[in-house]
Amino acid sequence: MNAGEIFVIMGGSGCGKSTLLKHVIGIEQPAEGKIWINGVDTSLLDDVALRGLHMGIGMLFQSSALFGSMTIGENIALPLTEFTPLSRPDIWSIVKMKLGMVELAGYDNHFPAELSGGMKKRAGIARAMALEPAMLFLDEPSAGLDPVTSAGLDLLIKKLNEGTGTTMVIVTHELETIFNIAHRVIMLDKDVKGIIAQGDPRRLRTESKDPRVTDFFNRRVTDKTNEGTRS
Amino acid sequence: MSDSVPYEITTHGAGDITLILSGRLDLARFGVLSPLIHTLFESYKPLKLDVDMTGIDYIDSTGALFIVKLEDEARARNVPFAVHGLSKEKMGILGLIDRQALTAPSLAPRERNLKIIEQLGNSTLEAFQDIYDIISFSGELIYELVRSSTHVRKVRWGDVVSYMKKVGVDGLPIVGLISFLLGLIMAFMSSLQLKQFGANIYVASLVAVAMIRELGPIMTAIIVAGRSGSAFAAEIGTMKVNEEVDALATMGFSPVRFLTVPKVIASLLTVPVLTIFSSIFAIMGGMIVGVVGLNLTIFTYVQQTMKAIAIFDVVSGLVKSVVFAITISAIGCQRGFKVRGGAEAVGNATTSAVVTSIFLIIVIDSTFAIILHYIH
Repeated sequence: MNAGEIFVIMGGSGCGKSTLLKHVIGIEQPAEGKIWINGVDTSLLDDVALRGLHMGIGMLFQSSALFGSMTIGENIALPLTEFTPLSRPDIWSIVKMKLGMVELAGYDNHFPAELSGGMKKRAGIARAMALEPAMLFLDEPSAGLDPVTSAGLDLLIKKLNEGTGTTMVIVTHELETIFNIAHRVIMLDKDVKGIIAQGDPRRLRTESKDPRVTDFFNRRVTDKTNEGTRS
Repeated sequence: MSDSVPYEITTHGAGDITLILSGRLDLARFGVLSPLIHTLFESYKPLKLDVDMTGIDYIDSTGALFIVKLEDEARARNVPFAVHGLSKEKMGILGLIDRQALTAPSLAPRERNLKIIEQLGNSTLEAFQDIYDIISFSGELIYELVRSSTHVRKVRWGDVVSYMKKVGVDGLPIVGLISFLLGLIMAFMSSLQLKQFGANIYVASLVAVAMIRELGPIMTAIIVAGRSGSAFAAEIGTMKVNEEVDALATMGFSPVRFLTVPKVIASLLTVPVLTIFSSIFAIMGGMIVGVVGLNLTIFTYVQQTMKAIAIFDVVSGLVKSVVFAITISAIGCQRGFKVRGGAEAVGNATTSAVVTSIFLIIVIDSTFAIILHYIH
């Protein structure tokens, strides 16, 4: 991945996109292979060093994973309170700034249960970016959102990427999201158990000769009973 | 310019101030820079403020927030303000800051602290609502139990067996251990007193009567409330959060029949058995003290125990345990069905299930004590 780019991991359901993400952010440990973050082999690090490394990473979970017992403001303030020596007024001015960045100004006293799905995702992004991470991982940001909300979220991600220069790694199979925001994609396949294509998504769609890639981009279903295809 | 203080202030003529920033303007330095806004305007009293950011290597959104706050303060004091030396690329981050958001009032103001009389009123209303909910749920449960008794094949017997294992078999070790130790302690403490009167043999009677009549059913019920009542509340509460209960309702199932009836039947069948085991283990604990500490033979201890036990006590103890079983399982499920929200609500329901069950166990036991006194 290149610094500052929006890098999309795509592929069909069950190909291991979210699992790959969980390995990279350290929630799961790989049975085989190694993971390097900023040139550091994570398998050589102890828990403390690994935690330090992961503090430079923000994560938006598929369900947003906001703490239901805290207000949105408290959710965003939590990492700042825990990991910085900032005063309470400074923390709250950052919280309000982050809420403004994700277009949720004024929602600091709302509880997650009072927000819509799209608003929860925005609040999740604000919390993930609270510590100004160099990398932001987003797991299925558009999952469960209507097309308009999803497109709005895509715009927000693009705006944040361009404004902050944060490297963004997005796991998705939403083609609209991929074409709207991805600088580069890799495509995973569950049969190969690995990467089958990578590059600019617009070029892959038109230039790839791999039927698995073209089927994915053209939403074509292969009928394996008679080897036919339908769109 | 040191790393910890990444700024320099220069004065050009009267009130013409330049703030020179360099290095990283980021979250790590925000704590140092934030108080500078106040200091700059109060100590230097600028008439014109320029910010030179030529030396800035990196700026994040928190760094941009500092610049925006500085500019807002200058505007508020009618001080001309200008930023120089920031590349077009780095200027982009300033555009991310929504100035109105920084002062936007909360759309959901925090609830004011209620006065004591209001709190008392709310608590009273909640208590009445709780009693109403329990009575309403009990009615629904009784209806479903009666309906299940006439439609036996509709009962999910697989679940009943599974819950019997969870409540009974899995609960037996802890019920046995606690009862054994309780019997041991009771026998030991009473032996210290009874020994003085040469009434050692009555230690067996005391342990047997106390356990079979009162402590056996109560101890078992409290342990089952802690283990299984809480588990029922957590299970149904989590299903509520995941909309599984709503899914059952939309498919035409009665959630109470589907989820509560198997748990109540399983508890009904296993808690009395656990109660019997509880008394047996306690008597065994007492026997250890009797044999080792009081020089009684096992035969003598058992004989005295049998002499002390009346059929009425055994039956009343078992009837109590049946009522406790229904109460614990029903309260556990009712609390689970009341869950609204997320993980915290599930935790609250679990705690509430245990506390309410134990409270009701004591109330029911007291009622039984009065009723049994007049019956016997």
